[in-house]
Order: sequence, then structure tokens, then C-alpha cells
Amino acid sequence: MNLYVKFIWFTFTTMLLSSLIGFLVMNVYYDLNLKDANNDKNMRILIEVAEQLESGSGQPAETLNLLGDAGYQFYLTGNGRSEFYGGEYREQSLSDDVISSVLNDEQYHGISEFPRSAFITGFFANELRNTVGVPVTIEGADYALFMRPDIGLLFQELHWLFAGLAGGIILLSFLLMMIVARLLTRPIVQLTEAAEQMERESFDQPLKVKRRDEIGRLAERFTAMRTQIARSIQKREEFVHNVSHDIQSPLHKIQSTLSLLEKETLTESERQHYYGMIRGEAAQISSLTKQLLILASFNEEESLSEQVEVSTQLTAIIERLRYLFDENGLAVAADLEHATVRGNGVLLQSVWENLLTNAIKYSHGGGLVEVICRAEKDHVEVIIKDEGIGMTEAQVAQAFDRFYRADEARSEQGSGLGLSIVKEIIDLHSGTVRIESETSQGTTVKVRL
Amino acid sequence: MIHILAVDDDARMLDFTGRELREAGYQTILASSGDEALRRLEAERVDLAVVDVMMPGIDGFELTKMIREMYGIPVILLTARHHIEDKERGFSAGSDDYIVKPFEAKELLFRVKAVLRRVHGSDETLTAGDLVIDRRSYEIRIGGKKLIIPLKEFELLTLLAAHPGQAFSRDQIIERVWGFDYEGDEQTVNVHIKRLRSRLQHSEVEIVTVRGIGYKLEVMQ
Repeated sequence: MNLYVKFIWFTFTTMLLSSLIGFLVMNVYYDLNLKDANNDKNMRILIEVAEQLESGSGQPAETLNLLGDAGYQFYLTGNGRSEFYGGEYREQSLSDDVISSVLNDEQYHGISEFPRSAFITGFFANELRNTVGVPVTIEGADYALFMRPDIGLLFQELHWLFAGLAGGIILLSFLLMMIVARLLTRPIVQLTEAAEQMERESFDQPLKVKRRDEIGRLAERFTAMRTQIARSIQKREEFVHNVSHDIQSPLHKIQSTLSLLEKETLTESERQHYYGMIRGEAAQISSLTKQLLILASFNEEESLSEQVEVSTQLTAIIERLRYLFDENGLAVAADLEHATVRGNGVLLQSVWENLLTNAIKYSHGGGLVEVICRAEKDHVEVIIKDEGIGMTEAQVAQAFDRFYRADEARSEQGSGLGLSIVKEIIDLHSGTVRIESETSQGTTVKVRL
Repeated sequence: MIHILAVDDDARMLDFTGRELREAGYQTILASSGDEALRRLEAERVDLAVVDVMMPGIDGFELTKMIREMYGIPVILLTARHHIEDKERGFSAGSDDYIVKPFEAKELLFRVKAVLRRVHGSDETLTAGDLVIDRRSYEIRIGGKKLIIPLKEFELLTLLAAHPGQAFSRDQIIERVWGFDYEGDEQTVNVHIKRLRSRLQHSEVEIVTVRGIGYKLEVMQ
């Protein structure tokens, strides 16, 4: 069942249910509060009628007929007579006990005594027992006279008016509900269609929902989300393109070097040279994929609320990279003050790792890498300083761009992703990263968190 | 001969680890599960274990704990990148070091050597002037400032600092620092001496060339 049908069905059942409950409440209210008053009111009228009849002025039958036409139903019984005046009773049974008690000078309060029933309102019950009765003496004979107002006659027009009103309310409510339901569901249908289009990676399905309610907000958020997804898909495609190129080109170099190696005329040293080239290219692919793994973990681990001990992390990474320092004949001077920042431990770890491997990569043998960690009042500063080849100003300016390599020939192991990852992570932590560098003097990277 | 137990459920990784260790001159014992590792440990002498974290059955952390408790031998854990946060667990399980996968053979061998040195090496410190040589952590301190220097430089410096004022010839140095079978030339010694000198620039010690003999370390007054 779609939302539209559900809406109308819901309206219908609501109306039905509320009418039913209303009717029941009304019945009970009549039974508890109105019944006795109604009984007494009619009893007063009946007593006056009886007095009029007993006074003997006019023909009793004529008087009763006239009153019957005016809207009352009578039943006169006793002394061998049993006559009805006015509108007919639908249910004419009345126990003999009642009749004989009235004949014995007792009043009958049938309207008051009428039993309560859930679905029949006493007020409308056109039954002989739903009457008031008094004894009456006409021309010396004792009778019992019963009376109730002829509701059918008195309220005939009112019935139609009320029926019309109720019918009108129901019909109009229905029509309006149908329109409202249409208005409410249409933007949802539109949103659904747009979402279905998105599954097919199409993001330009127009969405004309201008409302100030929840649905309007939903549509607004949806559009924003859609734009965001479209943008990130575009970014992803560019990224995949770049990555593919960066994997393709070393693979290509490996392939061509391999075919060079197949020549039998090569000297041993040439052969070694080519092996070295292949190893270098393979290392490049390896480092690229490592960086890609970091990027992939980026989205999963967005929690920035860990307490990260920067100094401890730095100590651990220096220890871990010790073999690389060793291999490159580099010394490390670590001056680490105890410092913690709020952030993501895994991501920050890759920042230090990236910066330190860069320092190693671009240093000369026998050089020194300094790692300094300072805990200031409102921030933590990490400085990583090498005595390596350094960069020109133009290279520094571009250093944080994705896939930028300062020197294609020299950075055989670089993926061009390292510093851009560093920058992204530091940005994520609302920190700053600055590079100071001078060609052949070395590079200093300062991170503030 | 040093015996190293390698435990990994990945047969190819185990093969790689085993071969690299053998080629570096260690005796290897291979096990493809925690249970097998424990059986081998009962039967054989093991000096160091290299254990992969992710294994079905007894995992690396558990195994490390058991090895440390029952045999007290050092353990190096191999862990995937996303397990780094488990580092604490690794250390509390008693591992002496950990390596993040994927790793290069060179890193593994460096760590193995480092752990073995830590376990078997002497733990005394040497002092010469404001130079302190910590032979346990393989760090030096100059006037309180900590400095980590390459291993060969460290060993060279240790040799000289252990006997201040005593001159060592290049041949002696090569023999003591690089070993008998070293095929390099004296130029290597020169390079290392040069590097050490620049690192010791602001210290109270100096490496002095003894003409015709070699080098000695002197504490400046």
C-alpha cells in the first residue's frame, strides 16, 4: 500500500472511529444526565394533558388526535379500550404489570427506566415502554395514558440537516485529505526518484521541493548530500586516474627494463644496473600502495578525541625507523618534551612517519636528523630538521600538492602522496604545518597542533 | 648458533621469514600455528621467537604471553597496520618488539639483532668526559643530549671510548667492529671516523689521528 492510499485509509478509519466513540459517549451522557430530565419534562406535559382530559371540556379523542398531530404519541388503555393517537410506535409491547400499576393510580416513568444500551440512544427509541404514563379518568372510567414526544415528526427536518452536515463534513474532509496527501507525498516521490537515479550514478535529476517543513529540510539536506557525493565521486575518479598513472609508469619501466635484460650481450655491471632499476621501481609501487592504505584508513577512523602522547609516538617511530637511519648512516637527535594532544593516534603516527622517512630519504650519509617536541601553553610543536638536499622556494610552494614530486629523477621512492597526506591530517586536526628549506642546506618541517 | 622460532599461519610469509633469517646465519624453526609452536618449544632450544599476531586458534598475543611465562625468551610480534593500537596489548603480553607488516627483510633482521643485543649484550654504560655511551639502548648522550647514531659508528665509538687515550690501527678497528670476514677497505673506517668527529664537535671528547698508527679518543681538559 503506498503512502497516498495509506493516508486516505488512515483518514477514513480515524473518522469512523471518532464517530463511533462520539456516539458511545453521547449515549452514556444521555443515559446518565439527560434521561431523567427528559422523563420529568414529559411527565409534566402528560399530567397537564390528563387534567385537561379529566376536566371534561371537549372530546377526549379529538384532544388526543390534535396533540398527536402536534407531535406526541399517545396510548390510551383500560376499561376494554386500547387506542393509539399520533405517530405509530415501532415496538408496541408493554407489560400488563405496568398497565395495571398505572390503573392503580401509579405513575410510570418509562423514559427514566429505559435500559441503557451501547448502540441505541433511549432518546430516539420509538417504543411503547419508552414513555411516561399516568392514570386518567374520563367520563367515570379509569384508563392508563402513556405518552412520548414523536421524535420522528418533530425532528424530521433536523435529521436531514444533520445528515447533510455530517455527509458534507465527511465528503469535504475526504477530498481535502486527498489533496493534502497528494501534496505531502509528491516531494517524497520526487526524492525517491532522485535517490533511484543516484543508484545509477546520475546526480542531475531536478528536485523542485521548496517547503519550509520537515520534508523541505529533508529535500535540502538530500540535495546537499547529493552534491557532496557527486563531488567526492569526481575527486575519486581523478584520484584513481592519478594513482593508475603512478602505478602504470613504474610498471612500464619495469617491463621495458626486463626486455632490456633479455639481451644476452649485456655485461654484468649493466645487468646489475638494470636489476637496481627494477628494484627501485618496485619500491616506488610499494611505497605508493602504503600511502594509499593510509588514505583508505582516513575515512574509517575519524575519531579525533583520543589523547595522543606525541612524545611517546615519536620515540616509538624513531625506534622503528632506526634500521633506516642506520642504513643511511644518519644520526638522530631527539629532544622530546612530554606532550599530549587530542586527535587521532593512527593518523598522527603516519604524519611523523612520513616526515621522518622524508628526512631520511633526502639526507646525505653521515647527516643528522633532529626531532624536537615542545609542549607550549596552548599547543604542541614538533620540529623535524634534516641536513639534506633541501628544496627551492618554488618546490616548497608545491610540496603539499597531491602527486607532486620535487625531482622525478631523485625521489625514486616517492609516491608524491606523503606530504599531501601529512597536510590533510594536520588540517583535520586544525593544526598547521610549515616547511622551511634551503637548497643543499636542509629542510625543517614545523608542525603545530 | 642462535635458534629463532618463526610462527605464522600464512605459509608464504613463514617461508619468507624463515629464508631471510637462515640467510642471515640463524638456525630457524618454523611453526604454522600456536599449538605447533608450543610443541616445538618443548622439544628444542629457542633463543628468540618471531610471532604473527593474526592466527587462528591461539593468537599471537596469547602465544607471546605463554612463551614469556614458560620460557622467558624474547618475542618479536608481526602486526598489521590497523593493529597498531593493539601495541599496548602486545607489550603487556611481553613482546620485546613489534614490526608492522608489510616489512622489508632488512627491518626484520635489524630488529632481531637489536633484540638479541638487548638480551645478551652487556648493560654497562661508558663515560668519557660529557659523553655517555649506553650499551643497552645503543644510544649516546653528549652533555645530556640524547643521540642515536648508526650501529657501526656506535661500535667504533664504544671501542675507542672503552680505552681512552689508547690508539687503535685501522686493521684493529675493522677486525673489532666489522669482523674478520669484512671485505671493505680502510676508506670505510675513514668515513666513519669523519662522521663521528662531526657528531662529537660540541663534546668534551675528540678523536685524534695518531700519525702512522690510527686513532684514539681523548678527553679534552
